Amino acid sequence: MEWIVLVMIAAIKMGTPLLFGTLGGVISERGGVINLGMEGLMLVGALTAFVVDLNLNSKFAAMVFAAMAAGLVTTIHAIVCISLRANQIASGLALALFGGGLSGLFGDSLVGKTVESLNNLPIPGLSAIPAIGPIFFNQDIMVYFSYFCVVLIWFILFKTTLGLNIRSMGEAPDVCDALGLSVFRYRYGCVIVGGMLIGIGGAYFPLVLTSFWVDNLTAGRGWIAVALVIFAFWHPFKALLGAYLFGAAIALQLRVQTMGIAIPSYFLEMFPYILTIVVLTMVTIRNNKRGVSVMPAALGLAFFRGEKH
Amino acid sequence: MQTSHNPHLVLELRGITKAFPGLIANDRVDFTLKQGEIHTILGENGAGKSTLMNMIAGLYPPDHGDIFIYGKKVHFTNPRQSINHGIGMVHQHFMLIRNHTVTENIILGTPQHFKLNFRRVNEEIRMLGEKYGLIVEPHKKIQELSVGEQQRVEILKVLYRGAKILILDEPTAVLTPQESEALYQIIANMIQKDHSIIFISHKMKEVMSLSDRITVLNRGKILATFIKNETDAQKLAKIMMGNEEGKELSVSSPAPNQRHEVVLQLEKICANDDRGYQILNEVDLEIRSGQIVGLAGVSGNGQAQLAEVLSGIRPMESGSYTYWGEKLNAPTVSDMIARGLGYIPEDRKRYGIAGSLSIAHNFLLRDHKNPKFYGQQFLDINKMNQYARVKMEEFDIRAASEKTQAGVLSGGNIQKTILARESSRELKFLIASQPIRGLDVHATAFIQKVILQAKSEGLAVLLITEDLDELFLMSDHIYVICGGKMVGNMPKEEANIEQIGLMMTGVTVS
Repeated sequence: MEWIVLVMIAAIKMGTPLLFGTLGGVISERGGVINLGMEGLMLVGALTAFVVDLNLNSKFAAMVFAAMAAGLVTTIHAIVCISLRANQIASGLALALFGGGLSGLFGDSLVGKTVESLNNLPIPGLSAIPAIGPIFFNQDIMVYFSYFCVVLIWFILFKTTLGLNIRSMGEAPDVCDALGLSVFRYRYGCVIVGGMLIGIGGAYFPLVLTSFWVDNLTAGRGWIAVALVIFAFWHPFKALLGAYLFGAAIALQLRVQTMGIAIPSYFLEMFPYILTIVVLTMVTIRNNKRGVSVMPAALGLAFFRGEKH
Repeated sequence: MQTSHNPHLVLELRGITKAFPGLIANDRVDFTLKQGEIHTILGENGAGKSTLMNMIAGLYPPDHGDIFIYGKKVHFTNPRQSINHGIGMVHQHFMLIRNHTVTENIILGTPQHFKLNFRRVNEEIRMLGEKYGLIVEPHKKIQELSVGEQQRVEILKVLYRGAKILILDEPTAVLTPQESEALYQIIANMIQKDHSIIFISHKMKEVMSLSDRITVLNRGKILATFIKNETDAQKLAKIMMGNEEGKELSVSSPAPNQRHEVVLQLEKICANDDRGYQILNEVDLEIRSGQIVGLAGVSGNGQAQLAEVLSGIRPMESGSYTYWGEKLNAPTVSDMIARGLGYIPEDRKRYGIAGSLSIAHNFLLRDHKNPKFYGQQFLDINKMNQYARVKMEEFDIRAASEKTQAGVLSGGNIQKTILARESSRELKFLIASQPIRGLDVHATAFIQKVILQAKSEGLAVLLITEDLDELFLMSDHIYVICGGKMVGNMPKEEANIEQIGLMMTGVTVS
């Protein structure tokens, strides 16, 4: 049974960047803007965090700068989608490729350097609980921050005026506009704050998981986060569940590889992505059967004001 | 002279002009609303009513002219300013968020504490509702509510914002007769509590019974304002239509004793909706040639699915479908087209036309194999366009040319395009689903005339409608559907409007 706890500890670590990414996506899409650029934003966040940590030797600064850099790059997406009303899918895909290229370009000279990995910080008392303790409460501070973000985002979305306004932007921006709420302001806010969280997700790779930089460090995890937003029904608690499920898939895959079982490693690496397809299909079928649509009704639609119909 | 003199005026418009590219929507409009008054604006679609109201609601500013509220000149640049001046607009197409609760919809955009206290707000809304007789469950989601309840939420929404001047934009267009009666009561309550109301409608009966004053708008201009007692319905109708004589629906009546053969017979038809739940429950229906059968019901009770089963779009689970004496078993759409079925779908913009194609191309849909459009081998564009021009003339379809995109046409012109296409083949059976919904008086009269004419020539018609006036005007025989079941069936002569209204809402009538 010992190995299950070990896998689960790794699952949380692997799931944490997914969780940040998914939460960022949830915020953005609750406001009505799809962000397919997560992979690129994570890479920008990862590189920024690595560079800052290398030079300033501060994990905190690394995280802040990663968030800011990703936020800045997402602003392009916000301008293109919200102000210029271009296609959100196309802009997002462009962002993913742009972020990948940008990080590759500036990261090239850094390959081979290393930073120290973030230490685990056991929470007194809680970490002593058998199984649960080591899995959830003997982690690094970024993991604890992600727990905090889940609860905070849930509270804001569903218990506050701000959250009601954000959710309404994703459902019916024309209604919000007629009631005097600024669609532009809220959507910009959602996209940029979402982008910052995605950047923090990217920062987790060099600060905790790898300690070094290589080109394409995130290796497609950003795309899993895109799918997880749908899997999570745009809900922060389900985002947590989904992120750890896929974290577990990744951790399990790594473990099987080290056990030397004769399965080609390429197949094992495929596993989380195949799981993505299977889970998404199942979720969609179930939803169609029930006839419920939890997707924000105005997701992906640009807002035009005062048009005569 | 920037203030108005009359203290009883809550709202005054002076010389309001608004132009959009290619049309003057409002031309020097003057309008006043007194304290505690119901002032009706009467006019066809496109007369400029909505534009005028949207300017009062702050959605866009007028090009020229002034708006005074309680004698003070105002200049709105956004809707919130209008709301803050006590103006509340209840839109014809509800501005509600279907995924949100009643409470969430009502408080959206109002100043609230950062942390929402849902219990307190629910209580506030319940009390406000009781005060005006607007009963709704605050915690329910909009998608669970009936149309009448949704409208109550819309009204509560503006009252919650402290609106003293309410604009009701065709509020009864979507309501059953019983729901309309309830609304009239609510309006009376609001007047009693010192609100003033601008009422927009083109239903003459309710206009005459509710209004204090009536203003007629046509092509963006005010034609006249009357005090209710100084005018009558005929006079108003005449002015509204631009002094044209009201067109009577006169069609040559069918030869007496013409044989009415059974065209279509359904027995115990059951069918499922897209989610796999039963939506049609043992439906029986009989339609004869030269007969219009009206199917009344609140939308969403299986009418759409019934039309789909009949036209071969949706498979039936059980039951028998007999068409001209032939028992059909899982017919396909092309089978039914070959058998002379015409279909005017309810969502005409989505299912009736290809919006990004030209009018001429739209005429070609489903007739694309017809040799009359072909040269030796290929489609002959000239023949196609020529044909389209003839049809546009015949059906009075108003557009720049036959190359105009069908999607940019007005509702009336789209419907005429569909009708022209459907009737270009030899039809034996026509399904018309909500054929006049949202159309203006002219287009309505035209569409109805074409259908009645076709009927007199022996066409069998199934008319699906929520509009009871249309139902009684057009039908020979009436069926009522509720919850996927036929709950009533009678010749028109034996039906009355209250009874049908009750049956539509599921009240069994003995």
